[in-house]
Amino acid sequence: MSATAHREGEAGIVGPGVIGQVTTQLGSNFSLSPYCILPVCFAAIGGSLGKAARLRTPVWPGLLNPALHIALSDADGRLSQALDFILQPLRDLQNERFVEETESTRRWIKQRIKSLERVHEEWTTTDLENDPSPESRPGQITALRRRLKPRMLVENPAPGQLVKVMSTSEDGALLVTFDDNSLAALFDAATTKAANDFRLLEHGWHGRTFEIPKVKGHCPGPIVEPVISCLIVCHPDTLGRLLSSKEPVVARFCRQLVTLSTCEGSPPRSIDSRQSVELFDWWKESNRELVDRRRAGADYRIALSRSA
Amino acid sequence: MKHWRQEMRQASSSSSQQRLGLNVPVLAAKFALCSRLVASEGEPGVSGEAMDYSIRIADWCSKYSAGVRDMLTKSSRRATLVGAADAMLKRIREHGRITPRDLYRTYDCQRKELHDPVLEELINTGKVRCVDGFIEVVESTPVNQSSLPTDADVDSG
Repeated sequence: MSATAHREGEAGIVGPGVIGQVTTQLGSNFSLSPYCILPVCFAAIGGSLGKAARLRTPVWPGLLNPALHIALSDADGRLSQALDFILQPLRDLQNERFVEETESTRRWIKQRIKSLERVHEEWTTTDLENDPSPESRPGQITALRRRLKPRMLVENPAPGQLVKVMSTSEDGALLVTFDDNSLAALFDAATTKAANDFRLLEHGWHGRTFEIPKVKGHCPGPIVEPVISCLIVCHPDTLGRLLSSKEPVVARFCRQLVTLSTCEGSPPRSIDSRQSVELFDWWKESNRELVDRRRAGADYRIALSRSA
Repeated sequence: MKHWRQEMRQASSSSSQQRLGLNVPVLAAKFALCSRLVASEGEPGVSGEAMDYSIRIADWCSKYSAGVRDMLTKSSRRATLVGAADAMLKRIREHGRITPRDLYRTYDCQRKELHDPVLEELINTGKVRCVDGFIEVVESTPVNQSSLPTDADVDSG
């Protein structure tokens, strides 16, 4: 898979590497313009990585997270099918969480990490001491964090579920998807729960800390610097209703939405099944690498290079 | 970074566009970060080339997004208006000849600016008419109804 895909078009080029290949291949399979699929791939990448990398840039105060909000107006189901391909690696990687560790083991791991961190803080004299060997405390913490496998993807949550999932999230990062029914339930509900979900989505895009509202005397802690990407794929009528909403919380969320529709691409070519399977294995591997970094507790602060 | 500076300048000069549309420089930076995570060109940070590419994609997304949004909200507003007009027509039928003021009073929310466009839609589509300040339904008679044979004609025939 060393060949790079370059395709002239509206925005210039689709780009090289795995993202370029996936968008071109899916565009060809479903007769869609790769440009409708490209932002979805970016959102999936952001969803895989979570908080593990942020960018320093002159256009944003503080560190900019990779969270994106994308809405796809899908009249005939083609975008929905393409989205399934893009999200499948994340689904597979997330399932590992449920298969490999039970809830009680996860609780034990969390306690063990806390105690190791406490000991490490007490005995470490300098901030620069960060021995990566597996026997060292940081090495042990990293290995345990990998086993925790934070929740990465929530599909079609009910109103209020998003806040609930984020309040118990291990690393405060999530990719959430909405289809016709779940989206309509969210903005038709007009409940406090639904409004809080929209507020949290907005905060997740900015990476701003979200105060969870008090529930029956219980006051949960804030969700610190959440990173939430959102993918909406629904019928044009439902999306139109969302975008026309006069509710301030919905309107603020809509301002962050990249809204795309089924734009026609070149007519479908015959599919080379071997090449297609190889490509999606490559896509899955790329996602896995990012997820591994996230599970290891990485916190990259990327800057613009001198040429930028 | 010609594109970057250009976008920054445009974003700061068109404050209304920034309020209503997508923030292209920030969107481009997010795209660049995601691209950097899966493809590195050997540089430690985000390269100028990658940033230019991301700005082009973000700019296209912003323009395309604005078009789709405009189209979807227009058709959604139209659908809402047609639904409200049908409901108002039903109310007029129930109350018979009625002034616009009394008609609006039958609603929980009686704001004139809310109901005026709906009534206007009904008048424009010829479903109601305004006579001497009263609204009345225009009963349309199906074409050639009088020429259809009656039961009596059928029996006698």
